[in-house]
Amino acid sequence: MDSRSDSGFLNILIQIGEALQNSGAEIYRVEDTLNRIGYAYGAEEMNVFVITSSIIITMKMPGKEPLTQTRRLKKSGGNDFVKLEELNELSRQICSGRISVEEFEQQLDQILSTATRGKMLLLGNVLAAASFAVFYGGSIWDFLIAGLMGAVIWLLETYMEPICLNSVAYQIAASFLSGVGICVVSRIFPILHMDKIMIGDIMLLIPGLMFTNAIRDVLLGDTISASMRLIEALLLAAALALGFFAAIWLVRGIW
Amino acid sequence: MNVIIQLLTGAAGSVGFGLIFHINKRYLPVAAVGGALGWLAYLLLSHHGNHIFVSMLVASFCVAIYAEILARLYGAPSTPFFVTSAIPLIPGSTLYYCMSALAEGNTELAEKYGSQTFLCALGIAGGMAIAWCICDLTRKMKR
Repeated sequence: MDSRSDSGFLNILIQIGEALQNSGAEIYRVEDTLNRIGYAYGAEEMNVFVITSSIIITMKMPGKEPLTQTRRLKKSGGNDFVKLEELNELSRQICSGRISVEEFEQQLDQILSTATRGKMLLLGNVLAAASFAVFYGGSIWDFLIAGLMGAVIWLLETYMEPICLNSVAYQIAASFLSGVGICVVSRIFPILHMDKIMIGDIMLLIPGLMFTNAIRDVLLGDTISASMRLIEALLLAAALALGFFAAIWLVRGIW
Repeated sequence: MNVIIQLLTGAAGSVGFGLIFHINKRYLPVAAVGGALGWLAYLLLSHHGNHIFVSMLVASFCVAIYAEILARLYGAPSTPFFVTSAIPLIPGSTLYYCMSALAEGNTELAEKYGSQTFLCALGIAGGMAIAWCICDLTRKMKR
């Protein structure tokens, strides 16, 4: 590779790092994968530093000057385990040395361009919210309404999250709006159990995966990322509580 | 009867989260089993008079071991299995009752539920941490 393509390669490397991070990988996995891919393509020395908000890679190819690229990560961890598996498989293929850089780029683009999964997400939201309303002792009516509110949360997630200031602001707004919705509906239909429906929908908004990854990062020694994730998970949980609290308080106050 | 409903809906909830996290379709059935298993472990433990923290810790430990076993069977990362199966253990209800007590101005009750929520989360974290440490150790000893 000449030095221009070296820089291009580094850019692809950063792309796969960001993709891994955005599909819910632990920091350790991102760093490890980037290191392995770099060495597989003949790097003499790889220095990869990843935290939840940034990736820094310095690569030294034999007989050349070291190259560095960084990328600021705006999204703090998504969740798409099918994508994660595909990316893992791709890096496994690379490490067994069967793929050229061009093919690598092509396959990565293909993985990243797979269609969004709106319907499955909607189905998951409805199923999870409805099930947990019954799980905590709700009736069949609670099941239906919790499922309906799960769909509303899906709508909020799809259309409101992109225009919100940040994830905490979105969390407050989403919990407040769905909380007001649930309060009003269960005031109109006294047969409903407001608490059960609300718990079902709270389950959707709790940052469980973020919390799990924070603990995992602690165990793997990435303390900086772990504390960033843990603080974000706690902030999101607090925002969730605040949003629902405000909704209950408001509806109770004026009705 | 109540327990059966809880196990079934817990399993359904785990599948729901499996869809949200977009795990491979092949894994959805085992996610359902994991969700029911984790909650069953918790119910058994707390039924025998264990403290909520201990019950959560052991239940989360069981789920994490289950996830590790599946991860080796399928040759996949264990996180998708763990996250979906541990969903029923998440203290969503105590978090809600804590807030609702706060909204009523009942700080004593809010404190009780708040500390329960915190202990649950701590228990889940502790259980999975212990399980992962053991699994990591066995992996290294094999080599």
